[in-house]
Amino acid sequence: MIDLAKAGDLFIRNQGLIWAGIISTLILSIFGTVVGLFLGVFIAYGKNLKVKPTSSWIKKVGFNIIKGLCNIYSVVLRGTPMMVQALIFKYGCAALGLNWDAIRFPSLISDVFNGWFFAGLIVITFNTAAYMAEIVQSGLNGVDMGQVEGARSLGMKSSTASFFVVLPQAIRNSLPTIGNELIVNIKDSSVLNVIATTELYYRMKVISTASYAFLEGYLILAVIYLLLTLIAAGVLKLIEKKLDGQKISLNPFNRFKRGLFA
Amino acid sequence: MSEVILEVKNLAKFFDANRVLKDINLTVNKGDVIAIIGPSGSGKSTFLRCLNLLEEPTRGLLSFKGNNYFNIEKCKDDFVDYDAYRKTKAKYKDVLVDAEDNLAIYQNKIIEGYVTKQNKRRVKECKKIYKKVLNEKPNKADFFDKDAYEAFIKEHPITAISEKQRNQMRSQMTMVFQSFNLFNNMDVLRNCTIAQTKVLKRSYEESKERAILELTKVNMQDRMNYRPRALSGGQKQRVAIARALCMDPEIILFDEPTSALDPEMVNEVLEVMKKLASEGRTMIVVTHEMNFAKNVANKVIFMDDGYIVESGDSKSFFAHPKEERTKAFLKKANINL
Repeated sequence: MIDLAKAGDLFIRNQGLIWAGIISTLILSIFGTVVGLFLGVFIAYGKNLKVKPTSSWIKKVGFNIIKGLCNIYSVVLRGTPMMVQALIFKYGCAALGLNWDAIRFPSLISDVFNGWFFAGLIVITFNTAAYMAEIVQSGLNGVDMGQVEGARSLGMKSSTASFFVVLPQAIRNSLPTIGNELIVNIKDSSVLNVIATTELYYRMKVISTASYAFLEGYLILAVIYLLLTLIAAGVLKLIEKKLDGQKISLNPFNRFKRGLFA
Repeated sequence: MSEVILEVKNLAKFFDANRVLKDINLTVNKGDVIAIIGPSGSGKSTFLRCLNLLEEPTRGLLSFKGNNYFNIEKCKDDFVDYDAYRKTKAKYKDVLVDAEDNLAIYQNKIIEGYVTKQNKRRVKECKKIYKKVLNEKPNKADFFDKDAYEAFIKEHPITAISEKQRNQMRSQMTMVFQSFNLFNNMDVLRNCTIAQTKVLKRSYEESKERAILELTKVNMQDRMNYRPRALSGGQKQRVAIARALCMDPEIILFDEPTSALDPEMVNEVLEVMKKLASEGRTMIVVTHEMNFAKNVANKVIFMDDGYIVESGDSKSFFAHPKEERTKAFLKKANINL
């Protein structure tokens, strides 16, 4: 049966490693989501490129190539598992002679960040970007185009209008989906253990194997992931409220009173 | 003599076969308040949108303070030989009907029971002819005089103004929309300042001062930190007017500003517009508010089917309409003549 004392003991004895795992998982998922969103915006705009029939043929061909590349990118990266992408990335790098193991930091930092951590960061970012492109694109399509006309009628450039008017609304409207992606990333970064990225799951696997406490170890892991995702969901709600121009209170009592987590 | 601000000559806008604006000529003097009335689908809104090039006109001359910002004397459509096209189309119709009839005769014979080799062969032949006729449908492109068009373009090259000049011109000719089109992600104050800082390159403090001034004018100064969705329709429209005023426009275009509002709100918006008119601003207002057209505007234009049917001084326009079409419209609109 589950031995709670054993589980507690396991947690306390390996606290350092577990915290290192939590930090690296958080960095992987948050960096992956934020930078992925940034890349996704570019890909979404690339997919939405429209050529006027009057523009020169160089522009037409160029735009179509960019559009095609963006489409291929999102189809391929969304259509293959991240685990497979990570493995291909790992062995692809090896074939090209790139050795992620060679990246070393001073001892304290290298506990959290080894070379493969950065490889994992790249994989998760580019994988998320494909999903983000889709999310941002649907957000862009959802914004009422009348506002663009309003901006144009005041003399704004179309790029200014889309940057200051359309994009903020598109991202605001798709924020629940983007938050969802963050939560998925927190959990799915665990598949990066196949390329030895030292995130939370990888740490716990090592700990529980070493101490033969598999059930206890993975239960602790489940609780930690649950707490991380709950906190992420709460923070995202706060951000949503902030973007809506509502006043937010950081006093937890007030927040519970208003039913933030309800 | 007052100064001419905007000149429109032979303006036309075609959406393929749908000819929305056919031939519009208009001169706007400084300080004019022009009301454009007319039934739905008569091209009023399209005309307004063509003025600041939100919609690209097909042909015509638009000139703002003496600068031609749009000038296409003749479009491709003018080089299509429409007489020949129509004649060929009529002839083609006859041929088509003949082919259809022939086919039907032999098909009916077979249906009636005369299934002979000869009849079957004839049906086959008629089908062949029918298909051939279908392929020979006259095409408008065949009647397009390409050489003449190219020669014309060589003589009068299309000189489109740059995007920058376009934006410059638009900021001088701001527009107020039926559906407000405020920026939902910004509060009222930011709505009024963003175009000033981005287009006119004013400093934030300067543009804020200006925005507060204009918002006070439309009586919205106490709602500066609200988002548009927290405002009523009339309030939104007043903010939209303030936003347009912030750009120091020479002309303000109103595209049915009161159509989406209930009667109470209509009045609060119309009050603001009256105030602007009394300040001597140049305004072009597409409206269904006949009282506004009668009492505030100094010139009324009645549009129907892509033409300006009648235009004139507002008092005499409503008192003595000349054209039959205008009379019928005003009667339906319940205006006491």
